[in-house]
Amino acid sequence: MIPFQMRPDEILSEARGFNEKLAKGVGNLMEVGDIPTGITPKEVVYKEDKLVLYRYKSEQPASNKTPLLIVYALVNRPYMADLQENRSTIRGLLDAGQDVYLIDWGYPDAADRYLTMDDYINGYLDRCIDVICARHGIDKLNLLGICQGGAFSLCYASMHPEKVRNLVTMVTPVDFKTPDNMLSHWVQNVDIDLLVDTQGNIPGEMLNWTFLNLKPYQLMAQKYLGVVDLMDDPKALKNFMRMEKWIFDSPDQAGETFRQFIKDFFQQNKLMKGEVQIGEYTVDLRKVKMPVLNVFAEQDHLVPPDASRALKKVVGSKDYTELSFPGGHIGIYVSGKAQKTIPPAIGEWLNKR
Amino acid sequence: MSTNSNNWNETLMNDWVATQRKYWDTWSDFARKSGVGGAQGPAANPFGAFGSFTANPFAQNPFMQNPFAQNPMGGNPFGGAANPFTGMVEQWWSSVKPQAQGDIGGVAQRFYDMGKSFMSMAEGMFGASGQEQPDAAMQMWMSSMQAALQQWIAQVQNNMDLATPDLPGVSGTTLNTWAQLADTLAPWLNMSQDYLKDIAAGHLPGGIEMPGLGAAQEQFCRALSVPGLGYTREQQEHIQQLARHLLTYHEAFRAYKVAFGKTALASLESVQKRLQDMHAAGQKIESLRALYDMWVDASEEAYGEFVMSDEYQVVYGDLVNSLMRVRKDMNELAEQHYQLMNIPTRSEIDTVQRRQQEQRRENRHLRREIAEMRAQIEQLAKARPEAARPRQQQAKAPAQDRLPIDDVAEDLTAIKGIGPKMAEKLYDQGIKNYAQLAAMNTKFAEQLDEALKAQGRILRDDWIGQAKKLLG
Repeated sequence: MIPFQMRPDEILSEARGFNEKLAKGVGNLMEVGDIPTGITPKEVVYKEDKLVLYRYKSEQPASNKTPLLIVYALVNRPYMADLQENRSTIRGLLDAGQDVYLIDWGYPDAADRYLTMDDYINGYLDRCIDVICARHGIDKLNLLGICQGGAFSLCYASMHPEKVRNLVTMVTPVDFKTPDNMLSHWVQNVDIDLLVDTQGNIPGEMLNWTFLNLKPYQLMAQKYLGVVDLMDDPKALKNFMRMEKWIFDSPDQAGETFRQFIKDFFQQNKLMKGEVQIGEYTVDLRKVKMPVLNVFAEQDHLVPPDASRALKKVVGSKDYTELSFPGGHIGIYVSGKAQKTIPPAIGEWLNKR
Repeated sequence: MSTNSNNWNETLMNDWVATQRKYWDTWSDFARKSGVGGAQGPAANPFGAFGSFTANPFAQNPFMQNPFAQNPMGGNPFGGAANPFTGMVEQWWSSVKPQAQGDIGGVAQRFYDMGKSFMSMAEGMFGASGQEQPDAAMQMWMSSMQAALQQWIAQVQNNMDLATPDLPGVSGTTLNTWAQLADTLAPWLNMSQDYLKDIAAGHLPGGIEMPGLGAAQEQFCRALSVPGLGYTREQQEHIQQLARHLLTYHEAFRAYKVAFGKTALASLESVQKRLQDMHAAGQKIESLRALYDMWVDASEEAYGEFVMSDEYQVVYGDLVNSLMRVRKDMNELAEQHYQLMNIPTRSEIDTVQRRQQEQRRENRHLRREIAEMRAQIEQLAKARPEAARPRQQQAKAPAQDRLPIDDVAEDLTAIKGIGPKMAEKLYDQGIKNYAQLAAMNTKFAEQLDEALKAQGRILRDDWIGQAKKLLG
């Protein structure tokens, strides 16, 4: 009946082996020391409040004269795109001839709770774009948004199309009501006004906990079991620790921005309907007419691929390209295969335009 | 940190490895002597010392349900050790924990949680494999997990539960983390079990006495809705409201737990089904690791299905909302006290911050407008000396970038609306011929109009069109 074929002594021996590996492994873990993240050299170009705009340094001058600005999600730290030597989307983009800038939003505190999406997109983001354009003496640049940052970039491109030459969205949700969207399913019955009015900023811990609970068995247990076998390799262990550090390094989210993002995007799916109101603008994706490259992961448990694919139906651009990758939400930045294919493909696409 | 960890590696590690070796050797020895190790050997149960599972159903996680404890055969070489496999992990952890801090400590903790969970599964397997009929024993092990979960669900439904279990196979997950999260959001909630008892007995905070809960919650809730009286009326009302909301929160948490217990049951069923399918297909599991992986897959699938249900959406939302209501009440009560003490409150600071942010936003808008206006003024100012340095000026001012640079002078008074004076003014601006006038765009024409104080004549009299006609 039970297809389990182990004798007690075999069980003992496996348990013993595991226990020893675990103990030695955690011994090695304590030797890991500092875990540096973000490896590509960069310089500060502009600062405002807690925001820092970086420009990445490249060994050879960029062949593409239009600079590329990366906009990351507020929920996470941006070093996922520059994790380690052989796993850096940013390094890949530099190698593909791009002049790369990135916005680090920093860690908002209680005094930042009234930052709205208007402040983030028509304020911070717009000013960063002005700074870059002024530096290069140009009117428009290339914009690359990741996850929530992708949604922000879409909004920006619809409100200020004259400043965006090409738009790249990566693992970006557009349709928040696809049937497989677990996060969206969970928040439909949550009183967001009550939550934000009471809580102010939304703790990163709470957001992180929510993400881990999308797949608790894998993300909170099995993952660590798999690593036990790698723990005698200090390099592999250090790489694992970098990921681990990133996953649990979640800034709080400004209350007012969270309120609008969850209510308008997750609960009411207004981005699809062209009803999102940001400051004085109504976000209409039909106004996004510049070339668009939409990159998504086929096994994304956070942003289901259909949520990204929906962009095709609503975007105004006639030059719309999709690039899908067989991997997950995070794998698209860190898997070896993704590193070899995705940044060069983005670079090539941009260079042609 | 490096000194510490070096010490740990050199001494503790060696000690630990030695202890481990001895420990597992003893086990193997024991297994051999008592015949547990042999496939045909007589059944023996080394887990005699396991506590009865009914006593503490969720000491660590449901994997730990060990039905073989009921019928100990042979001795346990470790006498008092309650859970020998996990006991080793725990012993090891207690020596590591003081050294593991910061980022690394957090990760080590997660490894430890996983290790405990994995080891308790190994324990269950080991117990089953030592039985006369391992198949039946495995079934029994699973059934006992199932029974424990059902029992726990019943306890929750009867409001007798205080502890929170884990999903079988994941230590420190959803329910536990939820409880921790609730604590971080509202630290006093972990006291709220006692607090609820107080409320149930009718002792409200702030020394207010109410009729006790007694048997009927409904009656109690009605008592909580009695309007407050007298000088402390407002505070009484707040406290009554808080008490009602606390009850609602605990109801919501209970509903969440029950739903959650059902998921754990569904996960178990899913595991059993996979085992049956594998059996039917003639597949075999040959390591603990393979069993664990299968367990995770099956459970994740069952969990995924449940959390996408309408039921989960409701219990999840209710839980978050009811927790927030309680927290809001607590904030309000705290603020009442602060106000009495003349201490600034969160709401007041919120008001200040909101206004400040509005002001900052407005400042940014104004700054931008001023910058734009400055640029316009500069453009207009630069339009004047154009005659002197036309080429450079033309390049810099975007509104007139299509205006041809040309010093050929023509009689501008041929255009209706331009008299000799106006013609002179135009010459001063560097506009001397029809081609230049014809090339103006509306924006430039407006700016020029303003600079010349032409009162809208340029567009009204259509100088651009007239110039075009004159050019043929």
